[in-house]
Amino acid sequence: MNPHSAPGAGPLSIVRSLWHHKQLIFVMTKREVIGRYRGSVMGLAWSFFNPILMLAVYTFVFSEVFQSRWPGQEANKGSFAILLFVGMIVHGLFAECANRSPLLIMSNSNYVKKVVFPLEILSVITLGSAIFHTAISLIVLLGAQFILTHTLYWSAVFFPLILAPLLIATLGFSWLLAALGVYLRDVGQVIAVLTTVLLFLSPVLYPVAALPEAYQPWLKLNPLTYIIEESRNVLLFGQLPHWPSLGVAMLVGLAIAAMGFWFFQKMRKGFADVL
Amino acid sequence: MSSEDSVISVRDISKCFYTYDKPSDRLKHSIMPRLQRRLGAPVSSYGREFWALRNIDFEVMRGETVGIVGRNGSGKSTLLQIICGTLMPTAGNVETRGRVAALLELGSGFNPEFTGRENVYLNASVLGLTREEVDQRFDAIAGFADIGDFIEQPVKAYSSGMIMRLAFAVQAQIDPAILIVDEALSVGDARFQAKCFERLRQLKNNGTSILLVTHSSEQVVTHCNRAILLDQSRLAMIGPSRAVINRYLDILFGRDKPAQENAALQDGSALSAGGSNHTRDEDGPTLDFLTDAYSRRSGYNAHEYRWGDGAASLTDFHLCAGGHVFPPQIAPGEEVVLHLALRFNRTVINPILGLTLKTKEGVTVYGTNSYLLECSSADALGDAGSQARACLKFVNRLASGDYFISIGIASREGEAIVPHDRRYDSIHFVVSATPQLLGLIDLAATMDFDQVSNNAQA
Repeated sequence: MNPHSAPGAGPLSIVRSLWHHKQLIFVMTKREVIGRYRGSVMGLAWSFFNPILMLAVYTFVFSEVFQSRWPGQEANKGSFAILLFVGMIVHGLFAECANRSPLLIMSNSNYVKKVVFPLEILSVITLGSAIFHTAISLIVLLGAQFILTHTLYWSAVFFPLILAPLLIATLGFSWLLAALGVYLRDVGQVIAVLTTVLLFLSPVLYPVAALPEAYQPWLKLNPLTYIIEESRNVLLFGQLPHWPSLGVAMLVGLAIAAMGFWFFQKMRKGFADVL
Repeated sequence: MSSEDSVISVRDISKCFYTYDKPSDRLKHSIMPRLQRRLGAPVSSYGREFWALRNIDFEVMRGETVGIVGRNGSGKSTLLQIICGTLMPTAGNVETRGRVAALLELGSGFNPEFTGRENVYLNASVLGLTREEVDQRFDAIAGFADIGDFIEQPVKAYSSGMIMRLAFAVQAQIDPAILIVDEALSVGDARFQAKCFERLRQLKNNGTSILLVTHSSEQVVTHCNRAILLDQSRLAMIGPSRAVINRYLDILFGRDKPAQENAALQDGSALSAGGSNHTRDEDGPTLDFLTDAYSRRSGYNAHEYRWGDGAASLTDFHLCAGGHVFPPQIAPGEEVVLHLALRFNRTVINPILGLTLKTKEGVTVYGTNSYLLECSSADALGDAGSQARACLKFVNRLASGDYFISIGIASREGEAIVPHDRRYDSIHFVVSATPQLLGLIDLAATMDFDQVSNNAQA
């Protein structure tokens, strides 16, 4: 690795960088996950308690207090919470990465100024730790589903496949936001508001079908809409993924990742000057 | 293409930093000039420029140790960061061949929350080592750092010395092609520093090129083949360490005008052409007051560093010890007599003649001057065109080894010292073996023993 040659910005460089730094990514992701709970008495168990507590609260508030019913679904204690929880998991994965990205480079200025560090993997590590928490939440979700409805669908194995385009696109957004965040400190504030808005403008608390027909096409422009709806289909309704749209989503995801990476690599030369 | 053996080529590097009054100026600066250039409009600037480096150009060869010196803010760290690749130059380019390991400031790249062991693995993999390679070297690294059980503690619990030890241990054990050390070693205790320099010497013998930034001139003279002096963002001098260090010390302590250096001294010789060329005194040897006989004498060090404004010149010297003239070796305890020829080209008020003795490593053993010695006969000297001779005597109490004498004429101008002719390290002499002592100087210690009989206590 010659630090003086211009960093590659093409899509192939992404693969090369990920492969070359696979050990580093693994070690640092592990550290990131464990480090979050380091020093707490319960340790890693917190990563389980968090989703369990959240799910318990949703069940109580929506099923007991509001007595909400998911449009088109039979009333069943806890079913609303589970439907909600799927959307929360998907949105949470994206929101966590998006919120942390603008500060990623700034909070690791050591890696910018003092060593020649493959900065692009910082986004990968953030994503990796978010994936870990998503996986834990998924286990909690499947457990709750089994206890409350006594059914699990084999189509749930396609969930990672549904999530894949989102993961790839999130990485692209993360690179873009990380690079922008170095130069424009306002990005962090904007993103915090946007991710909250996104929670309500995605079909997390309601299905797309619950909207008036006039609004439905607009909601479908939100990339999270497709992912959340499909996730519910494979996890909770036992439906197979819609393959053509998955293919399109994958291509869009790859394009976003390639653009984010290109932008990041172009901007990184100036990081050390600004920090 | 430069020679095969060059591992670092720095070509005409400049680095400009911008400072902005408002954060929005930074944004405008990154967009507007490009836009204006494309539209053909005049380019406006939103930031203030600060040039940290200007037109730096040099090469470092394989196995060479190069010291970089300069005052605070002269651009040393910026240069190192550019060579490491953490900063991009504004103009020019850098090429490095092989793995670059760098110790930039303290604890470079350590994560304070992780343990020492984890940081070693992290740091080494950043440098491109695989887990297996680190496994192989871990014991060597931990052994070198020698921080005991702290290796399993988070780095935030470390003392600054421990951080430096661990950081150096990692960098030094991975056999880099280029090792860059930025002042970090000064944190270590003397014993660890010695260990570091021993390791640096091994690396150097194995072909590692080392760039060393330090404020210790002794370290540069002792460990570096060459040195680079940066002053006000420019490369002021590059060459043999001793010469560069002398120049550096002048910049630090003197008010110098290096451009005037020897040219003024040459002019001066014409002024006093009327004076007698050779003098022979009953109480002194023959000295030449007109030409620079100084540099033809035996014992003269051609690598001397000479500078001054030329108002006075040191034209000749005569060294005598224990009755031997220009002795090849000076025995311990002998009286050393040094005669000097001085010529005043312009009027100098209250001239001061200084003498300094240094070891070959650059350690000052002794120094004094006519002002400190309250030598009132010097005050009367200094009329333009006049000549004078000085006789310095001291008893050789130095331990065996090589020494250099520096001589200088200066005068005071208020608080400041104005150097007229300084000839640093201009005379070399050797002190013959002194088997009775260690160290630098003979303090003439004595020892006495008395047998005490056991009965005496009863």
